[in-house]
Amino acid sequence: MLQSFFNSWVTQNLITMAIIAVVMVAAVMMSRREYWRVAAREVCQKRAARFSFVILCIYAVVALLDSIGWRRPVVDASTGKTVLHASTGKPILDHGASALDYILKPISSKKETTYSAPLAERQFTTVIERAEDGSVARVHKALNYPCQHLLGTDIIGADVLALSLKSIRTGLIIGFLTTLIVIPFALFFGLCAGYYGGWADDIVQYLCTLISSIPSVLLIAALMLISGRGLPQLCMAVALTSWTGLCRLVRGEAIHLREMEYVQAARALGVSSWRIIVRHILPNLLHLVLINLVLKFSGLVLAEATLTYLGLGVSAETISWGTMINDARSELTRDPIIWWKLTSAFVFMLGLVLPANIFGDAVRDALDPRLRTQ
Amino acid sequence: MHYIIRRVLYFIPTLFSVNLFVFMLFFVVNTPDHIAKQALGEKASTPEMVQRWKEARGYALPLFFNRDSKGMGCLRDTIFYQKSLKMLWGDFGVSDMTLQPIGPEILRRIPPSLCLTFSVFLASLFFNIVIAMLVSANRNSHYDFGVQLACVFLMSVSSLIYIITAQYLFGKVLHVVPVSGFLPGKEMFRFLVLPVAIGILGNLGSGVRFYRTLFLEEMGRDYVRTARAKGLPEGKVLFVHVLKNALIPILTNVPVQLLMLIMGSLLLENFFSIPGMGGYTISAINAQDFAVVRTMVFLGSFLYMVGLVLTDLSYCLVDPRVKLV
Amino acid sequence: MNRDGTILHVDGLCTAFRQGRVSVRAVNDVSFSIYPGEMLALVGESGSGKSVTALSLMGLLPEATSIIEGGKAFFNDKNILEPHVVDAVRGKEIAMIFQEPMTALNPVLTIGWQLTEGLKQHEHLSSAQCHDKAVALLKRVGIPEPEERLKDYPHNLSGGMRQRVMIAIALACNPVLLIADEPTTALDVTVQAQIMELLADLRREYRMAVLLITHNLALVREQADRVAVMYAGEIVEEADGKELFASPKHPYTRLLLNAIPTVSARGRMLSAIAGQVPAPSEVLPGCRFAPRCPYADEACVVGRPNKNELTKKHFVRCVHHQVNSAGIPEETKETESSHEGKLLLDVRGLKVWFPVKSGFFARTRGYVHAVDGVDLQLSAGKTLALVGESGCGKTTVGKALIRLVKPTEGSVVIDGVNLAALSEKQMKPYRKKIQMIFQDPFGSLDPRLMVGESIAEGMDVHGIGEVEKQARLKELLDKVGLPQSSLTRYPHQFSGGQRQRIGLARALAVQPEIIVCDECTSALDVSVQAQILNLLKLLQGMMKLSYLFITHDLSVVSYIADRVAVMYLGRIVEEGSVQDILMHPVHPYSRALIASAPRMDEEKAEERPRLAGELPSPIAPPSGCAFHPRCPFATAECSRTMPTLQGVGPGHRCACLNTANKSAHP
Repeated sequence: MLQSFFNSWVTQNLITMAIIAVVMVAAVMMSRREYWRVAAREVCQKRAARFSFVILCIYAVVALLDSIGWRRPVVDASTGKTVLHASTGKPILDHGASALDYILKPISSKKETTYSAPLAERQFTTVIERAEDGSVARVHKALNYPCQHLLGTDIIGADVLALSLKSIRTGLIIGFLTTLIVIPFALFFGLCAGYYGGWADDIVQYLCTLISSIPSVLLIAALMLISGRGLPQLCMAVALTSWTGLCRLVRGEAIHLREMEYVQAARALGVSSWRIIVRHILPNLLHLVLINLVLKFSGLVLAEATLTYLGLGVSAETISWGTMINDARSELTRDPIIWWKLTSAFVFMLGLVLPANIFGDAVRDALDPRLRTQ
Repeated sequence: MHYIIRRVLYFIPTLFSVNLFVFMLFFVVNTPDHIAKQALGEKASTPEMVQRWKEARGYALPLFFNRDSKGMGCLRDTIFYQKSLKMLWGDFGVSDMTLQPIGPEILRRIPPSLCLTFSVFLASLFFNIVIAMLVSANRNSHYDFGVQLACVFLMSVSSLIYIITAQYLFGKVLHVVPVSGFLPGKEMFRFLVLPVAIGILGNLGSGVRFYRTLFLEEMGRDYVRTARAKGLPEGKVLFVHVLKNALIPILTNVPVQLLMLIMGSLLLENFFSIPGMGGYTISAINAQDFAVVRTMVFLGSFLYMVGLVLTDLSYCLVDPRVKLV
Repeated sequence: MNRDGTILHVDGLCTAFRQGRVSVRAVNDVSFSIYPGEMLALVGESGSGKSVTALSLMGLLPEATSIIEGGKAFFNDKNILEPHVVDAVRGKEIAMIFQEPMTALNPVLTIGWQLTEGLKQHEHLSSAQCHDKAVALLKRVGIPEPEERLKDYPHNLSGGMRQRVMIAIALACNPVLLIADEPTTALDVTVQAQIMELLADLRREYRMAVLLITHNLALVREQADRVAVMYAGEIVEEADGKELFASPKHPYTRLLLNAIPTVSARGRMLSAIAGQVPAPSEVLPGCRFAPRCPYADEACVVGRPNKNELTKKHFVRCVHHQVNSAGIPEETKETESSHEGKLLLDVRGLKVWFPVKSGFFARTRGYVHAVDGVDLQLSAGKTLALVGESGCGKTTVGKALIRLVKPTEGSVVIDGVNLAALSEKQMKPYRKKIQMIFQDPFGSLDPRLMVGESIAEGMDVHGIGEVEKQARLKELLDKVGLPQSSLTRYPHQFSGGQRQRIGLARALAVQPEIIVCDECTSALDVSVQAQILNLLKLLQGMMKLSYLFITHDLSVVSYIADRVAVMYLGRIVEEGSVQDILMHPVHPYSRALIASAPRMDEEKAEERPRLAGELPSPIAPPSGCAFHPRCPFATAECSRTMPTLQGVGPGHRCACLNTANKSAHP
């Protein structure tokens, strides 16, 4: 049910739009506050951070293009007309594809039958061929589209470049969706525990201890076994195991802020607890939340690959760097080895994770007041 | 003594809650019927087959309360008691798939796992701290900058890549070490070198960065200035004053490190075919063996909590402010 | 010693800090000399560069961000500013003690280790010799049972004891020069007196020169032989202690001395210095004090004034040092002293106990008796000062009054309503009557809110309409003396004093009758403190406000308070008019407290009651009179019977068994 819900194009487009909207609203609200503007300026002043941000944006655009999709009427190849449904008379729609699929069509439609090295003219594997004179020889068959696969093809002849680009969406979803699930939980529980203290604190602390005492891989393993493999399940499982860290951070900071004199002053003026949390405590710990999330993001992307390898991540049909690396393991045992799939997965992943780390460091330097005073 | 007892007493309710949590997850959220159907194949299973499957594994009992039994039996003949509470005293039951008892299998697999995990843990702690110390002694130099850059790079590479390339390079191309496998005794060393080295490399990036921040924070403290004002040489200031204080946060981080290692050893054991607990867990995951995974979840948290208690106790050694009362 | 007879001769020291790509000079052309056995005080407000000077001399500045740009400092005829020259004498011939005894000692090493470390390094003594010397040192600095203390860790000792250990560490190698960087700032006055006395004794005994770095002018007046006044990275005046305080020449020195609140200044405004100390990054070609100086003219802004030698030992760096010796035009605006108003706030038997929880299920093991039965009365338009050392519970009293903590027992009556009995909801309308301003100018304003939002917060809560709100905001800014443009700016754009003004405006926004001022000037520099005190007095006259002034600073009390209550360990020990308490204290604690505080307006008293020991823990307060373990007049009776406040004169009450039946006014 969950799976089909997430797989429908309508919901997927809606979710994508919602995420864009949330990001836009957050950006607009932040840009109104001087503190964030100063921090953004500081990040932009670093060349490495600026460059990383551009790369991250490119990745994000690719992922967004891959998230918005539509179904098109099926066109009869011979007549060139749309096929109509026999009884209703409406055009029949295909399974649908994302914007990226349409863009990549020139590459991904160039199907081969098996492996080929980057920009090769012939297949990587040999087949036994009987020549006209009756002699038998092992030959590399010519490719359907020689010299057109920039990064080669995989076992079923799919273009590796297209695969790598399609993997971006999976990687970003793991990083982003998990974060979006974690934030409300961690903020709500952390703020309640930190600000109110008492039994609310006891309960939250207890929950955190309970969840964090189970090694996260094993908990994810349990959750994935129960819910079945898949991208949304993976995000949920990872979120469930990782909200405790942020929750503790928020709780600790809320306890610290609760004692700040401006909060005391607000209480003395009769401001309600709820209003104090929203107006004073939350804005003053938001930067820590942001630092934490940005720094964790790259870890999440890396975790996807590892979990997929362990059989806990996305299913084998989902295109992701994890599945690509997983396939590469058997490819490396061949002689000569098939290196291009592993290399492309590695390079594309590094291309996301390295800028994410550099950008994360810059964000931390700009927002962390402790480092700023040094 | 008092402190140790209190720590251990704290530990029991948490362990019990983890037990209950695992039970909820595996038997309430996910019913035995579901497990059976998954194991037998969703479509192929008939109600009789499901019932037989469940009975063979002791899943046919009620969850909490058995009305058909007498006396204590109504509590004892339940899934909760048989499958969950028994784990508390080390009775893990049988595997769902092979019907082999889990306990002895685990006992056999503990030594290789421990060898690997502890070697990785100790070695990476050593390397991380030494490098971080050297870097923070020369902070803001080109050397520091270079190491920091290298760290970010190391952090950005998936550990899978390290394992796959290293295995290919050293095992297949250079033939320095065996590609995979494990033998006990002296031979063990040859088989462990590569996995341990990879384990260290995988931890190096984040580790050095973490300890560097930690040392720099300590070096900004007032007591460091006092030590310098006394006229102590820089080496003494760093290795006596700073390191001794930094041991406290280093210790705090040990349980976290251990948790991270579990993930790493799962991968390493699998890639290098080391017959440890990690390999066992992975094959259980792939075979959808709920009994084994359940045991591992419980055992994992048990080990983590033991680590936590040990850490707490070792605070007494490094921090005089923690008293053993 | 140098050939010219000085211990240390500093000539033209310049130190700069790197901030990003620019470097900012924190110390500019500082020169001074110290002679054997002499105490030279380097005085200045925060940002004057006095600590940086000391750290530059010791070579203890962070290498990465600071550079010594010029100058020489001769010690034993060697220039210790050259790289690594100072390493040979640091800790051996020049020793240093720091401000924070709580953090300056290594928490994980024993006292013995830290004490002998330097000895081993410099004197190469054997372990046994080190041990003997360590015991002797601890005994010398007045630490009881030195043998046992050697095995202790810093957390086992109180703040005063730690500072004694710091001194012992500094003395270990018999230094000829001791640099004391704000050695008593973090300590209570009674402990400060003990430490300063110890330093004075040791100086005589070891014939050691001391460079005392402090902001406390009264302390300098009592202790120092010679004084150098620093302002914005420069020494502006240097003279013998007596001469400097008797006839200061630099306008800054004069204004500063007049800014110190005293009894004699009551009834007039303090001579606050407008503005604040310039940031080191501000480029001022002329005299750095010119922008704030009432005598500044064109001559002051064109070039840096020369060092004028008035006498052989009196230097001043000012163009107008002769012209204006006639005296500074004092702002003598009289603040009217209103007669007795009606009783506004009546606190009876206030108790605040905090549970101490530990063990299973957080069992309550005991209580911190933070406030243990306090009675206070405050009349309309008057100021009541609540005085005591840190940890005595005075801040908790303030918080209990405005219900930031819930009183355990007792009544707080305002306008016939007992606030302590109200629920949080019922309390809300009464919150308008009593407000608080806080100590920390940096923590008291939300950094993410614009100043206008902060000030308007109370009005939003109490449902004041938009039109009236805007009108009131304007009015409030005028009242506290801030420009109208402040509303849309953020707190970090303001200085400490300006932030305190904003905090005051926020409290005034709901038109309270009572304001609890919790140490609201103690984080400020003297000149800025004077501005705030003036403002408070002005507003009191204008708006008939009543203040409950919580402070440890007796000089502020002497200036602003009408009545004073002295607090010790959760209880009031003496209460009376400001004259009664400051001039004729009756309780032994008040007497010691007042005697310990260095004063500006009184000649140095030779014999003073000094107080031994430090404040006991409020978890298990001593039986009977809480003060009896430290009291020099304690009898057996004192440890059994809890004294109550008894009248000792008109409007003067004291809680002491020995003085209860004696009169304070013979």
